[in-house]
Amino acid sequence: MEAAIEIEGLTKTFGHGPDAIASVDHLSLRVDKGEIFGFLGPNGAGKTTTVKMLAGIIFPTSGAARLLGKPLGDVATRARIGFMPETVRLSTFMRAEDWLGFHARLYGMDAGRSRARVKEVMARTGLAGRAGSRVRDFSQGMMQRIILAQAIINEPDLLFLDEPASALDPLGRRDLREIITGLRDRGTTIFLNSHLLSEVELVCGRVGILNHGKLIRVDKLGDITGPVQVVDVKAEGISSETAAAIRRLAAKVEFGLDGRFTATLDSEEQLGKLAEIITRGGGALKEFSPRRISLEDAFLEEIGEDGSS
Amino acid sequence: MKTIAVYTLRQTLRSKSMIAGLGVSLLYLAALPLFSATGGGTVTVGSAGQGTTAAAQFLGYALGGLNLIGMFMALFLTLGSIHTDIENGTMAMIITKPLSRARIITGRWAGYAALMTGYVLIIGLVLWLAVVLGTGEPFLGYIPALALVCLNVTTMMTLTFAVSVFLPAAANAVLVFLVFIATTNLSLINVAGAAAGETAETIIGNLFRLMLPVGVVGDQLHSLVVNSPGQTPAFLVPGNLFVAYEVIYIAALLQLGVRAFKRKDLK
Repeated sequence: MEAAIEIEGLTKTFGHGPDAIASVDHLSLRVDKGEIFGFLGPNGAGKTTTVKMLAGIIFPTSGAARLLGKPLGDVATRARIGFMPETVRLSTFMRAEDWLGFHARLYGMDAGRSRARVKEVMARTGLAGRAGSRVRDFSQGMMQRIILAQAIINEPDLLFLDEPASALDPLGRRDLREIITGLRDRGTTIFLNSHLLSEVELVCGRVGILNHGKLIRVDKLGDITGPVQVVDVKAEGISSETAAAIRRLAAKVEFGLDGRFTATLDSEEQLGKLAEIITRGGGALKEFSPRRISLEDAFLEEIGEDGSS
Repeated sequence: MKTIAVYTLRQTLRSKSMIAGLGVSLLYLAALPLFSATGGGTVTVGSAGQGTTAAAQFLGYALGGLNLIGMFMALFLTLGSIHTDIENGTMAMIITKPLSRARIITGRWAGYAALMTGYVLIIGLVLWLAVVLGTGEPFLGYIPALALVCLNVTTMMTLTFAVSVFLPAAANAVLVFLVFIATTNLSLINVAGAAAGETAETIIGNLFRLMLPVGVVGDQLHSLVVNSPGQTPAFLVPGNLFVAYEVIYIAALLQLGVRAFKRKDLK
């Protein structure tokens, strides 16, 4: 698989001498083309600094990176890249469609193409009816939508999203997920920097966890969250023999009222066996809910509850 | 670059500083006949001699006022220019587009330059036409003088614009104001030197004036208009070293801004 992002020993230090702080410390990472990569970490971990270095907003102190096969700072490559910054308070008097048209022209689009793309991205980001509204009058959520719209106006091959859902309502987040998965389907690589782990969990194939400027883990989402280990069950007509069989199968069982119990299993394969034991024993399954360790749990485990890993 | 320039132009036209500047300009235009009257001169329609001289003086004063208002407008419009764009995140979005940093800065500068030049030309030409139609005299010396006002306004704009790459608006205002005051006051050594016939003082005074050359070129406005009604215009006063110096000064400031921006970490 070809790489969309290759980072080698990227470091960014702020300050000088003994007061110097490494915001990003010898980061090395590879993101393949077509991937949705989640970049996680607590506040101050260096996520935004990393994205800013990759987007060309700040310069690395040392190290190197290549985007779409070209070194950082290659102006022509930026035509294939989209960037959505974290917090922007736009004070422009321009109307939404003019402001987006300006960004389209910065990508070198002619007037006709620019108009068509503006219309398209406005519809896609839920701004279809706001073409004539002044950008400065937008709410924070609308502002985030239009900033996303400028990031995708060039149909990028590589898209950097820095906290894209922080000001979005549930509807906006759903739209964002659809945009992200839609872009992935057309081959766009997405580098998603987010605090919203539930959002990351829904769209990312692979995640990296950054803490104190160092990359402490990169893995597939499934490998980080781990297999299903716990299952919540509600069943009627469980005999004492069936209960004993369940106890023998599971590492741990906690029986509750109304035929409810929670079983902790050693492997995901035991889920089927558990259901079989209940039904063969004459029980009637009413609920069977396997629980996966959430990304949040896995994340907290990686960085430590106090972020001190 | 053109896209950035047009964007800058459109943005600035709607800014409060621009609206306030236009308001002051209109008040100034409305009050000009009063200044002229208190100065003892009147514009006599279709006459020569005394009336023509008074009209030339009126144009000279009017242009001097336009020069000052234009420079202050340029200053207020560009004080926070690049710094504000960086602070509010607008620049982060522009800089990730396929444009070099030098083109972004040059485009922004070109937008401001076009706006301020347009402003000076419109107001200046309205004044000129009014007087030319009133007196029947062409006052051709006014044209190069108007070009010098454009140059002065561009100089002041370029200074505050270039400093806005480094400093926020308030610090920029303080710095440029100090440079302006220092240049104006220290250049008085030149006047004292000339009065006393001391060449060294004259040279020292002139060197201080070079820190911000708007005063040097500004001095020529009045004499250009008043002394040359009906003369052939000498565009940009060929051979005038101070004008050449001011052009180089603008280019050097812009280059300074570009170089600083190329290495700058943005927010």
